[in-house]
Amino acid sequence: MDFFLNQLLNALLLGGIYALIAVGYTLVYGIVKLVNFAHGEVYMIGAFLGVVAISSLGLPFWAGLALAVLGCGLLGLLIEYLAYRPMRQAPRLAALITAVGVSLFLQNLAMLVWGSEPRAFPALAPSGEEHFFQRAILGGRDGAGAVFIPGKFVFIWSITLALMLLLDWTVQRTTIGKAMRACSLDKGAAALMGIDVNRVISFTFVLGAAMAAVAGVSYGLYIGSQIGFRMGVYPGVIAFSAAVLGGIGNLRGAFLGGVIMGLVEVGARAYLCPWLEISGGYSVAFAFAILIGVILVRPTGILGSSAVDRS
Amino acid sequence: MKSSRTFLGLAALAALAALPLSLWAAEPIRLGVAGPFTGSGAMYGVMIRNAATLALEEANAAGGIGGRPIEAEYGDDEGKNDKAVTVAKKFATDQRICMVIGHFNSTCSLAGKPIYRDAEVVQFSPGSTNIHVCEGSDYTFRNLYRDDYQGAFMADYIKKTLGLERVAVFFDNDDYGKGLKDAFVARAQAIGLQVVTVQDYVREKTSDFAPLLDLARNAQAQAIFISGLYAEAGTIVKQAREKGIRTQFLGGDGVFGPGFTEIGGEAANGTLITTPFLFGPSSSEAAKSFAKRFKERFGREPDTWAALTYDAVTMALDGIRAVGTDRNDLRDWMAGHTSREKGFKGITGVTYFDHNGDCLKPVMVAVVEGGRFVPAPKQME
Amino acid sequence: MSGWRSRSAQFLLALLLFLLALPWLGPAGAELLPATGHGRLMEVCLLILIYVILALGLNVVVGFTGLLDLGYVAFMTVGAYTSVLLYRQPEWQFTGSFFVVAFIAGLHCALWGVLRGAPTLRLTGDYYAIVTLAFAEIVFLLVLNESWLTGGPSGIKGYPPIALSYQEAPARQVELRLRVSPDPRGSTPENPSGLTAEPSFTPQDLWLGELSPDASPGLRRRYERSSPDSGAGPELRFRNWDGQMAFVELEAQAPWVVLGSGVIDGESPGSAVQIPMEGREPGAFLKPLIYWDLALLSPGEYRAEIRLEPRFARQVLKDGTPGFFYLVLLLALITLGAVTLLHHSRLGRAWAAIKADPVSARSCGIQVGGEKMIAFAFSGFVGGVGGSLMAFKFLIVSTNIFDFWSSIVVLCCIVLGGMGNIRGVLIGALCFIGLGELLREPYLFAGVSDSTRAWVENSGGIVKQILSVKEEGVELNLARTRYLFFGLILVLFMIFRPGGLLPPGGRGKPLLPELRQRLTALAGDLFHLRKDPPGA
Repeated sequence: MDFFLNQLLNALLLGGIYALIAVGYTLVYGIVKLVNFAHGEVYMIGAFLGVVAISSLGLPFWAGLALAVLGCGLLGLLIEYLAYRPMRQAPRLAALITAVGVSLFLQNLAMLVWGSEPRAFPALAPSGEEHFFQRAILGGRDGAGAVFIPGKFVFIWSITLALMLLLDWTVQRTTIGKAMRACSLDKGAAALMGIDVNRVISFTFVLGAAMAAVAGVSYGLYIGSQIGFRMGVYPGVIAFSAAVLGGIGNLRGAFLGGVIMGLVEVGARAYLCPWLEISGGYSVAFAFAILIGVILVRPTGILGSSAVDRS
Repeated sequence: MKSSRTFLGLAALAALAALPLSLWAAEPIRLGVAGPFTGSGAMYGVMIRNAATLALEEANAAGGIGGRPIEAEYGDDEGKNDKAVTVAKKFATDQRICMVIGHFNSTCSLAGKPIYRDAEVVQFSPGSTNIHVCEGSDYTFRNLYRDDYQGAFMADYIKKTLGLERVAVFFDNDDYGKGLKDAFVARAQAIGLQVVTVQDYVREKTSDFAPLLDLARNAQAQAIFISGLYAEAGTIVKQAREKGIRTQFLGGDGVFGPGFTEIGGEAANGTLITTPFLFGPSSSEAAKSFAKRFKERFGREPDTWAALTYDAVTMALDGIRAVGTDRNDLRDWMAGHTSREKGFKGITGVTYFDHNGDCLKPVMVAVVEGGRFVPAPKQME
Repeated sequence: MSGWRSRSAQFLLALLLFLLALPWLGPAGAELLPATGHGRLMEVCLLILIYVILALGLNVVVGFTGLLDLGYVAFMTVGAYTSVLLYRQPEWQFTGSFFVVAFIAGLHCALWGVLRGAPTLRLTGDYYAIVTLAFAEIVFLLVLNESWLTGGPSGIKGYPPIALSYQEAPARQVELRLRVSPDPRGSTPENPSGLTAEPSFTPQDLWLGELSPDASPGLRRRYERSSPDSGAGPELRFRNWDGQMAFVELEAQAPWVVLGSGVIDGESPGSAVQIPMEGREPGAFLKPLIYWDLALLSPGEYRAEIRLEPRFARQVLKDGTPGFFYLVLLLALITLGAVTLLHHSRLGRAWAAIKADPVSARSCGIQVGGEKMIAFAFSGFVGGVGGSLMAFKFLIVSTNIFDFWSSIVVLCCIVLGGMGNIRGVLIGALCFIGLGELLREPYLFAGVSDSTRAWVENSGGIVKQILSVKEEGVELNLARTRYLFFGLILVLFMIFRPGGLLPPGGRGKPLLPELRQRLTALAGDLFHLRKDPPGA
């Protein structure tokens, strides 16, 4: 039982991170019908900014997180403005290729600036002491028979939930949210209603990028290391798959999809792969297989309602 | 006219002959050094590069060899076998390079082997431990042990010296990690050490080790053996600690290096690691002196790989002094070290080769204490 | 067929003649381009040609049909592994076998292209892109983990290069004498027969093949000094002196002789077995597995003849030989011809219609689904063949060679050339791969001041990645920034030059005025100076 609970916690943690990234994909796709391939890189840069802020600049954790969010928000703004806005009238294919180009560019820029070697997330407390994040909230510290919930888990999940609720509220209840929904339905009509479409689109990108930044820092906190310029590739694809799984364009769907992907990946690693006696590396393959299955059976996703292009 | 042409030709010849002889004599001797200078194994690369630089600087300060300075040409294989092929081709076709020190990762040495063999240039590895590295080529040598030896040693150490019964294995799914894991598991099964779970990961791709750690905990492992390189090992111990897992961690020689302590932080302390060589109070005078010179020159302490590279380079230089720079002559000279008496005495011990080019050096066990690698209290005889 | 008399067509023709002559240019070629050695030029051209093939294949889906394929590397991988796994079996090494093997690899990939695309026929291009990505990841994981088939992360190396023909060499005989006597330990679980056998071979060592006259000095030296392996008692060893030996066939008539290939278990008694010679260096000892079935024997003396028939590979095409270069050139020309024919056929027009507007295409009676599948199959086939070529160029296949970026590189070639435009694809591949290889070459700034050197030594970050201090000066190495430039090129081309370097309808808007116009718009947006309604 403890094993199950521990793995469930792992899955939820991973799923939460995927959900945060997936939200960015789904918001952007909903409004400009573009798969933002560079989103994974925004996530990666968020993690790096957090690491750099805490270890090089010596800032406390909260400041690091804030810096990452601000930096990524700005990055999202820039990407939209410089690379995607000129492509708004262009054919879909061209826009997709541009996105791939931005992704490539950002990844290698990060490699040049921060080096090719992966970094570790810096220690948050002076050596020997225990930071709140590492302290056990629940559970003992020995071998089998203990369910262990460290403080960081509580933190990551509370911030994820809080952001999700905030985002949902924003989209459903505020004016800007209404503007976002209007633009995603019909940009021309929205412009006719007096909505500044450009500003709404920029805002959407910034929102998505900010969420990705939180995801990046959370990841650094959770895993503790392996922060490298390639870290956004896999999570990016998985998170996009999660967004599709939940219904692309649907915010709650992205959240749900992210959590499901986390559950599938960890569940496969913990139960399915050992049972089938195949390598644990296939856990990601199961997540992709689910994606393909969903596309086959229900392309609009679990919670999706928008009609898919009929061609 | 014909006469003027002859005159021009003679003048050209005279000019050529008049070129100072020193221009030709100063042509440097070149050694190729191949290793992971970038990528997740860059820490190894730093150590290798520094050690090679130190060895060459010392040799050049002593006047070089026959008045010629010695230079190293560095080839970055990023720890990947396709890049290793590119580097190998480059070194093999560059006829000025008389010998190659490298590669480091087993997968890279294996990839480069056929190319070096066809080009008939010696490949001398200070870090590749996979059992097949020296097979099938007269030109491949190494100055450290093989993984069948290391894996078996690790299993014996856990069972006999530490007295533990249940062990989990996490291995990096490449030539090195898998080979070491296979050797370990085979020996464990033979001596009755229970391997409760074996989990693989992909270097540079897998980063979330929490599910693996929970699998190991659930299987009630008393020890976890990491058959891989330092970046992932550091992450594993760090995550383990934060999950409250307190089992004994052990690592193969790939884990040995400052990168492990940097990434793992405090969680790295207490990890036992096998290594072909260790600096410690009982090291030879030559080793201690090397450590001191290394620290003075580069401001950091050398590790095993620096020591092995230094030995490899100094041995290569000895060979060049003895037989010159012809590639095949050097190969024959290397192959001539067939016994302990005829072996090369370096700071890591005596290097001599069997008919394959393999070298048998003992395995030592290090433990991480306060961020440094020191000899473990319990060594196995 | 307009445009084939135009300037660009003449340029391409000149290029073709240059390529045909390239392997023979020799030192003269090196002087034409002093920065690169001759061998390097040929290597770059070879790589360009392989990417031309791949880009032409991908162009069918991306350029002609307008669907974004991000997982092209899957075909390259599957094609490469398929061809290697087939080719290294001795049964597949016959005259002209490479073409058959490459064809089968292509068909295999075509099948997967169809299977992969089938679920997305009724969905938008975004779904197709994601499915291609997911498929590529799954292929990667399969290749990485199924080591029994693919060698896992270390891949497969040491397989024989392409040989156009094989030649039998004179057979050799070996006599095996076996003295069987009762085992003093009697019958044990490991040895139920209770017998023990003492073998002796005559001759004990065999030399197959002769040392060729142009053998290298090292090989000659080892040939002259070779002596039997020390230790180990009577056993059969034979030595391969001709570096191109493909395999040896062993046969024994006695039913109690069991032959094996040395790495796997023995075959049934008395059978013929082939030992493939991949990765066996000239001069190496080869030890076939020969043992005896004691269940069929009783104490006494036995004798058997074992026959060895070696076969040598001739006309080997390896990277660096003119033969391989011409092979790739030939395949590139064939691909070019096929793609051009398709482009101008009914199929090509159907694809163009689908790209422009799938709904209208369907209403015109075009079977959108079926035509898409044909495109998938064709691009898969070409990808498979391209992958095979890469496998035989590098002589190693592993997951490192075929990674995500390979697909992107092929995509970039198409983008640079203007998608759909065949000539553009050629120019795109030429420029792009050329640029990539050019960026790989380090450039030395000789004679820099000491203060500059010190600055380089002490700075970190970007400077350290691209500059390094050498004896002669400071070296600029942009090799690691290659992908940065590729990404930038993709974005810039899509924004400013979607038609590629040579768009079919002419250049389009001149670059500088367009740039100025965009920058003014940017400034306007930033400071809200524009009068037009924003957005939409």
